Amino acid sequence: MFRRLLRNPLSAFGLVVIALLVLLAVLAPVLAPYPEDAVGATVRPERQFEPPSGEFWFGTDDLGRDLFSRVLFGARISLVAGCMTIGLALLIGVPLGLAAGYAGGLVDEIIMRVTDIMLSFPPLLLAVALAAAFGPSLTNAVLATGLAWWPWYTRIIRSAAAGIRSREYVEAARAAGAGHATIMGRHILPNALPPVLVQASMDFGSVVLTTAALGFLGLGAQAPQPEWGLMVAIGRNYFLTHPWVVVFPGLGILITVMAFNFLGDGLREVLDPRLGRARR
Amino acid sequence: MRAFIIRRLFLSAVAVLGVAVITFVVARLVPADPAARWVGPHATAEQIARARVELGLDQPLWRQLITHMAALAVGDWGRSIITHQPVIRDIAAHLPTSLVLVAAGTLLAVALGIPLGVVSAAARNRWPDHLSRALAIGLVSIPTFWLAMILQLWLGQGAGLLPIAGQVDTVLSLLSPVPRVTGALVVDSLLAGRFDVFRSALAHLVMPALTVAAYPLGLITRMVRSSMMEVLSEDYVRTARAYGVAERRILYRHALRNAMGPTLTVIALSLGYALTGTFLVEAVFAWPGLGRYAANAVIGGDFPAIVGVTVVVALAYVLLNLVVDLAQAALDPRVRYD
Amino acid sequence: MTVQHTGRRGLGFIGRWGILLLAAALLLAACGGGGGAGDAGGGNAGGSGGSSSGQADEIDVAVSLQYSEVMVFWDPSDSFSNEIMAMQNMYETLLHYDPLADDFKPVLATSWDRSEDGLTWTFHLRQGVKFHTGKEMTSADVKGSIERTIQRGQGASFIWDPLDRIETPDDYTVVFHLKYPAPLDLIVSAGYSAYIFDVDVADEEWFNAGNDAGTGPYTVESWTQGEQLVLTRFDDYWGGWNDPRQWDKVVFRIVPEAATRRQLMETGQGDFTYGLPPEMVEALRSNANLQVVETPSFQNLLGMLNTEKAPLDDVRVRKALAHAFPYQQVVDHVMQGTARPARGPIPYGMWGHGEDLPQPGYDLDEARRLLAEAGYPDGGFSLVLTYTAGDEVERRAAELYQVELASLGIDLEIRAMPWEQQWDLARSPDPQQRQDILLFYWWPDLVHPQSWLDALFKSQDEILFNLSYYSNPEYDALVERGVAEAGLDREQAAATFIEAQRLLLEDAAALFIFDQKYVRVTSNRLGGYADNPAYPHVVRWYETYNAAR
Repeated sequence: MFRRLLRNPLSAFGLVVIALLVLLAVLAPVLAPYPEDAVGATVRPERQFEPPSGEFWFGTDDLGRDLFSRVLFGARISLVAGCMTIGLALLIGVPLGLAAGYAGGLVDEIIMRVTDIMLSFPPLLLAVALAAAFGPSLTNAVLATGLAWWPWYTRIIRSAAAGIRSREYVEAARAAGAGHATIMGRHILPNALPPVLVQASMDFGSVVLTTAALGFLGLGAQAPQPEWGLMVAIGRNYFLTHPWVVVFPGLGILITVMAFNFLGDGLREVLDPRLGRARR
Repeated sequence: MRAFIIRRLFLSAVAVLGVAVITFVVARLVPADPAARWVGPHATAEQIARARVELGLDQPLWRQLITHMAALAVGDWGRSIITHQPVIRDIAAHLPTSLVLVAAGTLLAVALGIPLGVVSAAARNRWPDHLSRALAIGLVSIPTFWLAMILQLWLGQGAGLLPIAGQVDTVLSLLSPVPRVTGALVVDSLLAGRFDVFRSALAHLVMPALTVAAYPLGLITRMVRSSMMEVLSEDYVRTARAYGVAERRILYRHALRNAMGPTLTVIALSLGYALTGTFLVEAVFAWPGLGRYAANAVIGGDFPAIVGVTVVVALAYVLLNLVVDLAQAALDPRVRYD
Repeated sequence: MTVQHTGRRGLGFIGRWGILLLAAALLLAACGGGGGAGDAGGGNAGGSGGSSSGQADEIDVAVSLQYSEVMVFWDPSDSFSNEIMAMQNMYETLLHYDPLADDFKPVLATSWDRSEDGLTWTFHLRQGVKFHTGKEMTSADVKGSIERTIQRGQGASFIWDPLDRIETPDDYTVVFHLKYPAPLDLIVSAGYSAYIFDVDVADEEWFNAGNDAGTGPYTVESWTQGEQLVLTRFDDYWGGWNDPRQWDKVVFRIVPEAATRRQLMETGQGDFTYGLPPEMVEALRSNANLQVVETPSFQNLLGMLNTEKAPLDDVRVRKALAHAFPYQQVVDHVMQGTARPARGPIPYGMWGHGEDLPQPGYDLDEARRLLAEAGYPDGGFSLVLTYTAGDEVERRAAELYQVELASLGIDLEIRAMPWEQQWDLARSPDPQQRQDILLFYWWPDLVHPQSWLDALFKSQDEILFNLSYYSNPEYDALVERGVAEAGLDREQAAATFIEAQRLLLEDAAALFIFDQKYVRVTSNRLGGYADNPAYPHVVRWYETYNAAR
């Protein structure tokens, strides 16, 4: 499967870029010319808004900090926040879906109706409303996005679990006296999980985009964190005269999200040669 | 069929009820005292206490929930803390302007997305396909708020082609205001026969509409491509081909028509997304619609307004999905009724 | 309204046409609008308007560009917000105060005197003053207006606290009896809660429908919420209309985005705006068609230090924090020079300001020494700072401060919050839950040092705005003494207030960061404009004129 992914030029490109991003994020403290600037430990107010130069590759921001270092560190925030968000969504969505699919009946009905209700909000809208209520911070933004995202996974895993429930080996396990927990954990989950994981990896780009959007609305990371969406939001006040403060952090978002979406697109192609219905 | 419709309506009603409950929970999660904000920055303790009673915040929680639902039902959505106006009036005032933007953006997306998707499907795995796929993925990956600023820099400031922000030229709107009929300036100016205002409003609409169009355009292109491909691999298409039916005819007559179902779903989805997307776009373009209103509410912690906008957008979304499902059921007998 | 400078002298042909059209449109709007709070839109004033008669081009229209809604409140008793900019042109008060000269100008009262004990003030009213409703103003309106404002208890009505009762011996005399000596001249000229209106029509609903009942030179013509307010001149204004260059109409347009306001100013579509970021103002200074006007304001930025919570309960730590703040950097690189480093809480230009107060300067060595003395030689603690979300100045100041504190080993966490959440946290029942440092602006409700010294630092049982939680009986006594003296001898009171501020500085109750300068951008044709910090952002349009005429 991996080989087939690499054969598709778009997903191959996506994979390479992702690998590069991860590398940059991990090595940011070594690669950044001014790592102190990234975390807000240094300022040079007298050198604010300097255009890109050999000294400051991406120019400086409103407090004279090196934008290149900050954008580099921004990759760490976006990747980590993305992983946490997806993780949280899976943590909520998978058990609920499993329970609904396995138990069926009333439990199924209740869980799925709640899921439907959650899905009647566009995901960004719900994330915005929740983040606004939780108060602005990166953690809360991750929490809000995760809480808005889980219903998608509940749906997928439920239908997978419902399909597996009546399979022979599950019946056999039940006949052998295995408890519900064992059956769910040992027999159903491993078989129902793969499609969810695939979906989750395809969602990564959207999650990064949502986190950045929350940052842009002031509901995510807080200054002086070098979060890309926040950097664009702050730069909005100055970009007509100093475009670089907005251009580079935005490119960071674009490249990251695009790389993951390329990969996701390739995945879809590989897993379903006839191309199943894309959900979103 | 009838059972399907009834069930679908019932589910929509449950969703609407759920929306009301969730928004109430959201509003109650807020740590801040709405009464304090209501009376302004230099208020006295008595003024706050009075506002608390006025806003019903002294009631028990379950009671507030019932009051909240009842109030939503009768259109009493509270007053915005920032504007001090009834939220429902604020929304009514701002919604038409946003709908213009959403409609223009979606139209653009449909007009460009369908041909792009068709080309992609027809040229599967050849360079036009790769190109249009890359473009589609790029479009769904662009942060819209950033795209908005890049367009401002490039088309507005750099090339000087388009006005950077606003809905219409200020001088023009001040010299002779157009009477408000629908609330949407492009429509109202036409109704009033004011082509000068119409031209100006149209010029102001281009950049925001392009920005709003980006994401749906990507979605539609992808969906048209994938559902066309599915259809193209069906037996009847192969048969048609074998009988020598022109490729063009196959593409547009058979494949595209059959691909319209899922595409319709995606268009409805995009409308909902575009409505939320205006939160990120309108503020950048100073577009006086619901999105800018919502963004200001978020920054200012104006919860009655946030809840109001959330309810409206979620309702629109539920309704759109309902309409699409029903339409599909009516048009396409293959849709499963479960 | 400058309709595009055409390059020819004065208003060119096009400009004149534009003004004709505007006049026609506004007239039609006035006829069609019905004065309601609805939309400004009137008939479809087509391009064919504009008669050839020479009278219509007498109309001068000024445009003020606002960043947010002007008319937050319509009731003159409740006014406590942006509407001051319109209301000061629609309504009047008995007197007018010029704080820089410490001088009063008679407005609705022509003369006044104070009894020896400072408890009785007598005002003689101007005769022949007409309300916009057509009624003539008498002492009953003055008494009724003030009593209604007090009774409603909104806005800044607490400024009337010293008032016992009002007597009206005849139609043109008003006598105020006070409970304790107070500077009533300041109170009757306050920017909020001191307006005189026609009490016969005063009704909340009626006001909220977009009506006014003042005596001022301008009256409401139309209002579209969130878009614009149009004021038109009141022909029967007692001051008369003697200069043909005076504005016939004033339009307040709401344009929240600074970049758009800047654009409108640059293209001659605005006469007055404010609230532009310093970087933009810098860019506009070189524009020959515009003026940048800087005046001291009574608004200042404060960092309230939590004096109840360790480690800031130690005065040495607070002093160290005060020495660690980069005052000059913030003034130079955040405010781009449009501020003045503070000297204590009372801003420059106001009575009670102490230019010689021992304001701590930026001195990291001193800060280090103080920290060591307090037992924190390497810092080693963390603090939470809150600021109002969206305020770029506060954010940048906080980030600069964070760097300084980091060099002392102090970890500063910066939290952006909407104001009411910030305020709520500051008033949490448990003092340990509260922030350590709170950034916010303060400005006076009354041009009286009491506005800071009483509201912000006097002991409060229930915390309202004493967000330093400062409590010092000696200080409280000084402030009380000063307040009592203010009604009799302002100079004496000023000296007392300066002593009180000395205590605040000694105890480092707060960071006194800067006194802001208001920066307004005006068009070249706006003549006669003068800023008065006692009435923030107010332009007295009656006193200005179209200099391009």
